[in-house]
Amino acid sequence: MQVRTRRTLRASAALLAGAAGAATVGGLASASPKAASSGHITLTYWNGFTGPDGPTVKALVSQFNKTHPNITINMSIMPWDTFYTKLLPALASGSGPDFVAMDTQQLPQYANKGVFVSLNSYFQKSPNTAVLAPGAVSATKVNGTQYGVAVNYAPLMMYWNKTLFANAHIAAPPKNWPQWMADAVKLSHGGKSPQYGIALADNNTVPMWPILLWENGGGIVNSSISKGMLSSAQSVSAVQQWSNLIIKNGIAPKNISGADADSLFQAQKAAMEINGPWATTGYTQAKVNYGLAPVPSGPARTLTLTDVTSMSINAKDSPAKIAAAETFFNYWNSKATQITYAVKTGFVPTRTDVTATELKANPDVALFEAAGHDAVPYQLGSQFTNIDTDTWTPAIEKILDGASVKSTLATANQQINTYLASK
Amino acid sequence: MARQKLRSRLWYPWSTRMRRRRTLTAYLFMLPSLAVLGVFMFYPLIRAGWLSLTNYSFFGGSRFIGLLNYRNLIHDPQFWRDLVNTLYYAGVVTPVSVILALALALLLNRKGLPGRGIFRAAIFLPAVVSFAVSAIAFRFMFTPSIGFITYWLAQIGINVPDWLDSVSFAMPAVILVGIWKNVGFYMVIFIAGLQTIPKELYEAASIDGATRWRRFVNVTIPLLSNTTMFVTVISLIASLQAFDQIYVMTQGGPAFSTETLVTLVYRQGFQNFQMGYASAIAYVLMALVLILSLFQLRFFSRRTVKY
Repeated sequence: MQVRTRRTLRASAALLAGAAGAATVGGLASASPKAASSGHITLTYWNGFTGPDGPTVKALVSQFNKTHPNITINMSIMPWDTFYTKLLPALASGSGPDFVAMDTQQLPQYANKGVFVSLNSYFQKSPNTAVLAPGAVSATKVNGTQYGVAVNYAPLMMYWNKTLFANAHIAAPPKNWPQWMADAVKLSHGGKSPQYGIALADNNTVPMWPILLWENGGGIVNSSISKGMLSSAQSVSAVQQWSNLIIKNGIAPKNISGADADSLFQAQKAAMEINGPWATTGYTQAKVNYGLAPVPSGPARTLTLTDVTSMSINAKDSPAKIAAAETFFNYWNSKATQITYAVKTGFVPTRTDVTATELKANPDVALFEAAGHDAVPYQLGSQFTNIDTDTWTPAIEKILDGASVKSTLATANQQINTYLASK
Repeated sequence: MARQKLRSRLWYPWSTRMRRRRTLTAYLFMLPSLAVLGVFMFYPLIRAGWLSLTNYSFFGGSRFIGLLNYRNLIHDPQFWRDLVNTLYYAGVVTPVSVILALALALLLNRKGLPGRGIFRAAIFLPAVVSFAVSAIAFRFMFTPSIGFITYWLAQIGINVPDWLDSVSFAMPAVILVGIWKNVGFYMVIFIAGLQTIPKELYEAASIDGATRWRRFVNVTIPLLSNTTMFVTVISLIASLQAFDQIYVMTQGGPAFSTETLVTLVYRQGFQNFQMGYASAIAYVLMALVLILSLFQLRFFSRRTVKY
């Protein structure tokens, strides 16, 4: 009897311990009811503007709350990874926010689940949508339906460290690939305190590698997002050239994240970095003597990536709430708001009718605005996580770790085609 | 004989009633814990079990699909790769931290060792710090060229690879942090265990002419086996469920080289939104933990001795 009890106890102790992992999954999936609101409209707004642009966003939202006595926006700013972890469970349980801001790369996976309202009719009636930057409009469209309204528009540029360039006796930033590669080699050295020509991040980052593929005529997927392009000769050659320079010439550290790349550039250990306008504030504060240049032209074309963040409305919102959120969208993309936002943060206005004189308080904005002319968003459709995070990123990581470029990309391409066929 | 009869007549009815009441009281005392366990452990556990039989993905309803998730698991190379990673992590972290903890406990259990308290506190300290916080600190220290570890090693001429960004070195780096974090806690448990061993046994062994090594093998190890069992079981369970420091340090990368089963559960459930599939993986992990724990308990309970 005693032996049996002890054994049962032991078994249940082990079961309990093992259950913890399984329990987490089940617990988070359970639902909770949602409280209804009435009268004065209060909207909850979730986003991840934790960066230097956060204070400006807060100021603009509180200004909206002051000028619109019938609407109150309760904004929750959280780190993006927390945001993406919380959002879908919250929406599924009915306790999700009334509207959100998220990267348009992620938008299709959510829109396809039917969690957001179609904004087609809003785009027909809004006073702003006709003047919104075309790239900002196309990036917020999923299968022909408008699901988002742009919050910000951020073409990437090449940051270059003027001091390190001068030390290496290079007068100007590179204009094309041969110059870019030669400069990167010249700016790199090993030793006790190594320096890198470029900080090229491949994971948890604003996409940098896809630009290299595009400029060589390749890509990760084709323009209609129906087939992988990683095994094309152009993609393979782009990866071969740059990974060779990294492995053999040490022009960049291997397999770093976006945050690592930023800290390398900020610590003046890397001479170049491809990044968006949000980085200007941090680098200025760190007293990095940097310049901004367009991403050097590739053999096939000159193209950079534009990062678009957009706002979407919860499909469970009442018509009154939807209307209130749309009032906020009108305010956000109004000329006055966009000028304040652009000048204070360095982001390019989402509108095309803001003039250079209106933006002269922040000279960087004009540079990013010009870079936006040769910029496209990074779109992989509803299979974004599967293709980017789970296939493409590990492939490039393996290659930088010494795996064969051709066969690794071929395998990844096959995987991507499987994902695209399964949607 | 007569006395015994009398006793049973007097005691038996009373004892049944009392026993029932006492059982009830015991359950009442247990109720708060049972309620907490029920809500936060058993309900989610049962629900996860149900989810693993469906294709639930937050939206679009969920359909019962039987054992399809489990069948898909068998053919999923990600699952096997992460199972190998999990066993690699647990297979190194558990024995190394248990042996290291025992060695440190033996060393720091000696009376008269100068600075004993300080050393004990220093080694125990990592156990108090949140795993996520220490993982962030280690991430910084391992960062190439500006990290403290890589920098000082480079200063003395050792050019280590970028640990966390290398497919072959990321796992050893994560393992190192796992051991560093746990060893202090296990050491404290071992010290407590060592202090329960009666001194007389060592004295007797000494008089019998046993060397220090013999005393360790024949007195310390057998009398410590209950403690060793406890430490090994919790250490193995903890390392099979490793998640926080891996998530913070590498997020399972580069190229999935540090992705363990729990990281896979997280990725499938909360990044790819395949809740049903994630639950199935969690259940397989639970079975694995259960089997290994039972095996350990059997192994150690045969070796328990009392003098």
